[in-house]
Amino acid sequence: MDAEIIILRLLHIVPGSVWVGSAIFLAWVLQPAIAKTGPPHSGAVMANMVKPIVILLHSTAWITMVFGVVMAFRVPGRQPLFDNLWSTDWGTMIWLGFLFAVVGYALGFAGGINSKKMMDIGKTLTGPPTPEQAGQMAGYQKRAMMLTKVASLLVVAAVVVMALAQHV
Amino acid sequence: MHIVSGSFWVGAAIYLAVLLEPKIRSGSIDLERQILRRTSRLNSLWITSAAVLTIVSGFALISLAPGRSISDLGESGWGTMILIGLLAALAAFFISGFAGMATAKLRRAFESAGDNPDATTTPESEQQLALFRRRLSSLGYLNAVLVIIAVGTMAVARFV
Repeated sequence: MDAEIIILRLLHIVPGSVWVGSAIFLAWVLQPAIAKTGPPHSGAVMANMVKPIVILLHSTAWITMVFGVVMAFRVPGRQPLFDNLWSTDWGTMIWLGFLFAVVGYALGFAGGINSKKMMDIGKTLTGPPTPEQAGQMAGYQKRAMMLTKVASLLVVAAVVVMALAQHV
Repeated sequence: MHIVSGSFWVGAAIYLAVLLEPKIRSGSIDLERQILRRTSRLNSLWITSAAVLTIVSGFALISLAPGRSISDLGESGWGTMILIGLLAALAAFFISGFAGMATAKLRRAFESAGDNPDATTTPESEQQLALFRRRLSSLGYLNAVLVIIAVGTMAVARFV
């Protein structure tokens, strides 16, 4: 039994599953459903949800990536890492997965910024939004939904290439 | 298929149990009704499909993996971990089914109240609603714990 690898795998795979699953659920199930519900309910849900979503997604993403990198330096039979990374199919899949994960995280982060901008406009409203404000809010919402969808697809791609790495 | 659908199942179960449902229940009844109406059928469909896909592809993976077979379950360190993961996954699947039924009851209770806005809420109906919500929360947390056990045991099975 290799206790170090077991602990590293748990710290990489469990938060990774939560990150990927939450990202898909948020992008493809929850956000479209909330957008269809429309105001005032969509605003109330998002105002309640944004902070916990941000904490969950950021923390799981960081734990996954940090322990993934640590594990890459410890995988038996794949050391020295940098030699294997550029010269083997396993290495190609691993750095490709890492790249997808980082870009997916960045796009998800950008989606979150757009959601926050939309909510900031919502907070300043004392009555119905002006056509200009409504247009801005719709633009931010559309961009946030698009970015989170692309981000979720990228993190799925990261999971796929990393899961296949040892079999190519 | 196994890993992608499994990740979605785990992530969605935890997201729902730990984040979405407590936040929605802490809001107004009207908000809960609207969100349930929009998402509960979708959630059930997506999560059940992901769970079925994960379990079926998991069995296929065990059968097709070189040097492994279903008869290894419970035999070696690997087999024991996979068996624990499988049992946790099956338990989570059934619990998620119960949670789906409880959500459907809650949604119907909301819909019947919505169809009849003049109806007064009795203490019994409020008690029943509170019971459904408590049951849903407990099932959600139990489901989240079980899927974490399933993914954790399966992730380390090769190294035990």
